[in-house]
Amino acid sequence: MKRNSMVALVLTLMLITLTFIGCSPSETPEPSTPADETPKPAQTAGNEEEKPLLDTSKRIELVVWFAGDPAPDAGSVIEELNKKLLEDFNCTMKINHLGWADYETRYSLLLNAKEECDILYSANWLNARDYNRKGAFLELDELLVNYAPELYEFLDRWEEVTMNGSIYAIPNNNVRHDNTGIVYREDLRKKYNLPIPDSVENIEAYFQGIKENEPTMLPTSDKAVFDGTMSSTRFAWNREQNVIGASFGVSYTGYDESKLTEITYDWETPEYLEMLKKIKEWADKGYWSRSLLSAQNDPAVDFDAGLTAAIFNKHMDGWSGHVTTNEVDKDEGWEIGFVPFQNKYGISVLTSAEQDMTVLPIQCKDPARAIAVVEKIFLDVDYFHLIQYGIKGVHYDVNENGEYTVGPKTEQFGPGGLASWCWRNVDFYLESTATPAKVEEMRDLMDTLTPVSPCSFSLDTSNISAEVASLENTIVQYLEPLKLGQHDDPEKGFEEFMRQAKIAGYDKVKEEFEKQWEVFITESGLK
Amino acid sequence: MSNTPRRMRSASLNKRSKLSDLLYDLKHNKALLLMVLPSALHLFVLSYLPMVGIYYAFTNYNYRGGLFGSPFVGFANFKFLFASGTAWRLTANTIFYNLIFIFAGTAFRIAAAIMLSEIIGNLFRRVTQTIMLLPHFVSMVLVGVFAYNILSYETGVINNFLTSIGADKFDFYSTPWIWRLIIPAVDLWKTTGYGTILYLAAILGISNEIYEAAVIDGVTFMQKIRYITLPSLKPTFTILLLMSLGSLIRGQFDLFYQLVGNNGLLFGSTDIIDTYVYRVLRVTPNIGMGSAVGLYQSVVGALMLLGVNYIIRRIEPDNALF
Repeated sequence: MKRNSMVALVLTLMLITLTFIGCSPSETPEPSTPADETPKPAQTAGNEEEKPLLDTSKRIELVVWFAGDPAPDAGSVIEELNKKLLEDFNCTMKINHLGWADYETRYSLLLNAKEECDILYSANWLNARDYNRKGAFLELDELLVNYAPELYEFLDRWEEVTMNGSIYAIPNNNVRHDNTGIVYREDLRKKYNLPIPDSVENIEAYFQGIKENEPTMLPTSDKAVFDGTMSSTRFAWNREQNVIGASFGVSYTGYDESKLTEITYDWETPEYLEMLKKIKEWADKGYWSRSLLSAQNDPAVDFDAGLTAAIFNKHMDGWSGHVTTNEVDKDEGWEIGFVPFQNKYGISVLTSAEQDMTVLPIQCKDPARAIAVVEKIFLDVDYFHLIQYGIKGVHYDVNENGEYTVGPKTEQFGPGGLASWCWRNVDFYLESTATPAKVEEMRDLMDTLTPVSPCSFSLDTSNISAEVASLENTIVQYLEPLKLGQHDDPEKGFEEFMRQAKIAGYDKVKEEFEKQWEVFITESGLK
Repeated sequence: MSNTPRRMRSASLNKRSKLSDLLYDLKHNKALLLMVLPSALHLFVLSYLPMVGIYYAFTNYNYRGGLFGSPFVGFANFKFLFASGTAWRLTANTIFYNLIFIFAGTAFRIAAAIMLSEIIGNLFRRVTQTIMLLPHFVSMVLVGVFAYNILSYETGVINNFLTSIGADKFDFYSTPWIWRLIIPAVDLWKTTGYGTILYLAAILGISNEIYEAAVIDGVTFMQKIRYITLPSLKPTFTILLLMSLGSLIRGQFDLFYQLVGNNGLLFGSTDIIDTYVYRVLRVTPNIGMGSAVGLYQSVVGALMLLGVNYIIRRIEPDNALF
């Protein structure tokens, strides 16, 4: 009957598990390090030319964990995959999914409790670097050279998944345009002759038009309205997250390579306060619910239901999803528009290599086989198509032009039905006739922009964990209400926030950030 | 009843050492001890063994090192809790709400139990009890959604009603004080039905002869409750009170989180230890800091329990837990 916090729950479970199983692995940590990982053949590898052979004599089951939810018919695809794996590697795979409902908690439990897991999905948004810093993942350098040399050769971007001189994850080659912006109702915009919402003024005009003409709609229900609008003015905004892992108000100047090393403290800029005042005005005009701060809604669901007219911080993929849902799947005359704000600066931010990665957790029972299997999936077209599209003739088909077409059971398993985002090889992608034309056009447009790779800096908070925790609390308590215009006087409210932030340790976080940033730009040759 | 043999012995030979007491029990009360064994094992495995994990609170956790291989950092993990007086405010809020839950909750449960026990129609009583029990099975997430739809500024039921009678709207989600009423109200709604069962059982256990004798002596209905039912419930009440005091400093995370969410405007009157910890460690999960909070809550809870038990032992030794 006890209703403890999530943290307490995590802890209790962790403690219990640890009592039973945790103690023993921690007594023998040594075999997990890659130096000893190499099985017997390695002992004979006196000369470096000779590579150790993969030992497949013992039949094993590799346990895989992905984030997300699988398609209904994933079971039959995995069955088919296991037939192939058994033949090639004398192993099978058990693919599990961390459902969207509580993926963060389950992910950390999986690692903390050292649950059985041999191959794991990881990403920057799942705190990959933080886990690696605490030693949760195996170093892959030698494993790659020994057991997946072709994959090592095939993929580049390894430097983006390197920490402290060793590779900790396998990226993929699915580099996409990652510009973000506002998704809005183009049909309503045209109907009421409103401007395209591509700047603060135009967003305001669009919101006002919706408010006046559509009494049953609210302009938005997205709590990200502040950050989203802000990113239309300062395109550096979205990189804040990449720089520091959470919004501590620090970003660097932008995509201009010559200024890359300059740091901006967003909270200390006049624009920040100006924007807070603007947001207060919008809140007073009733562009979103006054109770939004406590709402547990999903703004994207509200948007699809026709309750609101804008959502923020969307990428191409997100937009494309809304286009399919609202234009293709239902016929109500909706048109879904998209303004990726970075476009007006002529820049296309590419997805980070750390967006979708494969890692081997330290409890992996056979790292050599695991990495060899991953290599096969990446580089063998049959394996890849099976995993990405399902069983040919059942879940998909290929027409005479080599294009993807639907099969009898596509609804049960569409492209990417296994949620295997970390295993993507774009070279083997099948062209699809189903992509909406305007999404294609946008993609073509973005192909012409200057590509920019995101920065892989991530703040190590181990020295400042108490300050980061307090600061996190201060942000939620004092800044978040301001960001939705929930304060009578934004100027005073912001003053109070800055005062509290200083008490919480803002200066110390800044200092630590600068120190680490200096090291980072020196090491990565930016300076 | 079942521990009569042991009681008799303790009473007659309480000068003897505890050890010989135990030896005596082992010899003469084997069956009773065997009956205790499963729960003793359960307690040992689930409550005592995991205590090793307290050590996490003093380490900077690392996956390679595990429990004993991670670097020892002393009290550093407790710092975030005690920085800038946060711990005090959170502890005060947590205890405030739990005291309300305990006392208001108990009052409601006893009242409901007495009323139910006085209902004569069997069918009506069962139906009432079932309806009272229903909220217990509604998930807190749903309760949060209900609450939002009732309280929200633009579309909430209450504000629609206020508008329709020409009154001003009330902005629940930016008025901190009202939550000191709303949260206990929701808790009462949710827990009263379930908590009533225990008291109802206790009331049904009171011997009918006492009531009959009282009726012959001419008591009124209220006197019956005041002088017979309530005093008979005292032991049940004290034990339940003592047990709940042990978790006085553990908040009901889902109740607060689902109702308030991350609404900073309301934190002054709604933030409890559990929601705070969830909020600050959500971004950078930290086992050491999480354990530190758990340890803090356990230590304060244990002290609270010992203290109250001591007081009760002074006043009424029969009702004390130990």
